[in-house]
Amino acid sequence: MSRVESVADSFPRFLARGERRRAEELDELRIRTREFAQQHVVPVALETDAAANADPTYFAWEMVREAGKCGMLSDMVPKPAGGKGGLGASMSLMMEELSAACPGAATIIGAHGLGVLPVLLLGGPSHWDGVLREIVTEAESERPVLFAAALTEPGAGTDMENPELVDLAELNSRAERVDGGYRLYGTKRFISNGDVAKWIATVMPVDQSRPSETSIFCLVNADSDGFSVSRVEHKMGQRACHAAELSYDGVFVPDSMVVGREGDGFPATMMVLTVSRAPVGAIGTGIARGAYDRLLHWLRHDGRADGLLATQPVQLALARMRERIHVGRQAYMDAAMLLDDATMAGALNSSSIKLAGMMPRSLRNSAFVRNKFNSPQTAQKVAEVFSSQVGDEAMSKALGMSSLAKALGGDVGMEVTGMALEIAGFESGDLRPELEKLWRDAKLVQIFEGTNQLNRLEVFSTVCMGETMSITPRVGEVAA
Amino acid sequence: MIPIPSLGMSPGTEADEHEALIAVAQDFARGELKPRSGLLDEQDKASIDWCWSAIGELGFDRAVVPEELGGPGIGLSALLGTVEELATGDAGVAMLVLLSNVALSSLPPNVLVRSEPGERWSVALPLPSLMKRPPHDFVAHWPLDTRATDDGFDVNGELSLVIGAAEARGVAFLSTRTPCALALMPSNGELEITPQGDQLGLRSAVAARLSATNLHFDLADLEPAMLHPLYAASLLHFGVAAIARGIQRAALEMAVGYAVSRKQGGLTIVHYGAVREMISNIAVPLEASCSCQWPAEGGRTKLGSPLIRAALAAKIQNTDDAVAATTDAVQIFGGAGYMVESGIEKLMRDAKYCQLMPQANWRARESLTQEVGHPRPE
Repeated sequence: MSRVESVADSFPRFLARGERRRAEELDELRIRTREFAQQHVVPVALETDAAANADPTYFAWEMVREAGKCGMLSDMVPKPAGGKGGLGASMSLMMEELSAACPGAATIIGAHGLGVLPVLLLGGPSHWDGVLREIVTEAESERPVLFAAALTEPGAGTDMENPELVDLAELNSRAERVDGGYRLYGTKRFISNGDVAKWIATVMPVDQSRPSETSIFCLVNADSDGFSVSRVEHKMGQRACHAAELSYDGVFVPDSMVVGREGDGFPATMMVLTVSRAPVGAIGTGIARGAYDRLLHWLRHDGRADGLLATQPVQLALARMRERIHVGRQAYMDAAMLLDDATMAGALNSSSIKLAGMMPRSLRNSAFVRNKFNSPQTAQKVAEVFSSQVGDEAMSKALGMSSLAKALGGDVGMEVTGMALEIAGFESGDLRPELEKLWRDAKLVQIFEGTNQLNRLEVFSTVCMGETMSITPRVGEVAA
Repeated sequence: MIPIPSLGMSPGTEADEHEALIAVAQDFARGELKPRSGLLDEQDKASIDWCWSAIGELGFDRAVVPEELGGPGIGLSALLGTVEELATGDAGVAMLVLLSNVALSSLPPNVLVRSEPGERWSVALPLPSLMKRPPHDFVAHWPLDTRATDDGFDVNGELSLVIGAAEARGVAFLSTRTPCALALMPSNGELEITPQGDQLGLRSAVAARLSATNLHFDLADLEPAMLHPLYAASLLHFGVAAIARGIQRAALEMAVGYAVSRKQGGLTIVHYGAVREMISNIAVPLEASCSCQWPAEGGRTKLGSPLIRAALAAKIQNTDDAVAATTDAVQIFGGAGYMVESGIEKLMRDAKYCQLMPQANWRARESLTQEVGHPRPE
């Protein structure tokens, strides 16, 4: 692997803005992630891919345990809950480093983050000392706690991620209000980590004809009665991370495990996607960098590549790859920093959140405070904080930039891996299967988290036309 | 080791026969290859052997062998049309047919008459050196070392991932060091063939590693065949172009079929401009071009730069189009397209390998530039 470039080298903006200290903090994360990747991911990447090809249920738990020990699983957990409190920038850097080693491994961590996000954004302090702290305490256990986010259904993929389409979607899932909670029915499909997660953040409508207004986001424990995994898919690539079909047959979810209010489900989905798309762009960019690094190493050191580096077509191709990687990086970091510094900072640093964070844990866990945190009034308060501190306009801008980064990153990954494979060809020894795997892995980035086409339509609306989409929780509504 | 003389090309197939042949290939692709494409992609031996046996019964395995030598003797355009049709069912099987025919077209008559129907052959082409001519010496590593001796040359080394070479009767190794083609057969102890099934695409054309140790060829035994390796190389490039076109056609059919049935937002996805754009991206190159034809003039094909240029250009254009088309086709399917079960991601992998066969497109572009800049005499 090439020497670790500093964050300041990769992202000149940090120097231009005088943010050397922040760059150094992110450097520490980048170095730590790269060391983890070199030690625990690269050595098993090909064999995990082959094992999962033969048996799609194969899962590299040992690698995930090591990821837990290195803090990869708890980076996003808020500091009061024992985590690092990282968000867009740190998640994105982690994704680039992990993807350069194995995109499937990166997606395990990324999908885990996707499942944590609804809790982080709308859950408020009520979950800090519950499910979020559990991620930290179980990080080094035999089975670290993983999360998943269940959005897609057999009849609704793109539909679930677009405000204009969701109310027209053919949904099979529904949440039925019952005493003390909800019962969930239906099927979710292609859910990353779906069969290995302990907690599945699930979105379902109460009224199937009005999902945008009536959906809930709730945490389903994988051991719940009525919850089952129907199948694990055989994928083209990124096989280390499973895509599972999940079946909900009257699964009971108590009110305490509903994140936000009834009706917050779809806005929460859009906010989750806004936050997660920059890191997904980083996955695509990381895949490209992984291919580029491997190819350059081969060209420099392998006798089979003799003379190729001296030819202009190869030199031009390498330059083009480097250029694309650079552009992909700037796009995802632009989006991540916009989110961290401008969009989310106000909400996540609001006085009420800070106050809850300053409380001793023993006080937070007292029955009185827990009831307060779990009350509809707190859920309403969280929605009001988002409305006042963030708002649809800022969130729409952030959605536009993160969608741009994701679509671009997906294309960068495909383009660079394709070029690398062409240069290496069949006579490249051990390099060929590695590049072929990265090429297969790259395709998924153009598809998940909203297809590139959907992403670009959202760029058109929010960046080209400056439109504001309705994607933050509504205020002034009666909480469930 | 058998030296290979120059071989006259087969006369063209009449138009009616051509159409009938294409219809047979089409039926076989739809009825037998397509339903088995999953198993073929898994390199299921029974499926591959069954398909090859059926190919043999149809005569496709040795289609270009002249009638006087016991073959069907179809024309080269008919062969190209056939492999394009077969590729709509399974590109790997189409590649096996192409490679066998290219190899057989290179064998001398005394080897051909001894070859049995149903045998498979593959081809190894040292293309960087094949196309390398002064003043632009393209420096490239060719792992099979050919060293001149006083009376001939020695061959040593290994070639990896020779597509279709696993369980092959032999490999036609085309060389320009002394222009000739060599039939190397493991049965003669000349060649070691080790199956290498870990290929990304064209998986039913199981690849192998070839190892040669101190093979010696006497010049006196070889008939000069300056033009012959170029015929075979050109046919191979045209054939890969035809296979790529077949893959594109399969991708278009599958993508349109999905787009008119899958609903999102209450409408079939073909209603959305983004999907229509991708469909047109797949359709335009197909509509704008036509099936590959072997360029012929008065019944005789002239060798030289026009033929080679046409072959290289067809291969570059069609394979690049195929990769773009299949990438869009998977995209149209969305998440379902990424799953092996859909059958569409296989087309993307097959197309990618066509970009690399028989040489990567960036090398083919270099070769094309040489032919454009320094035409060789006809």
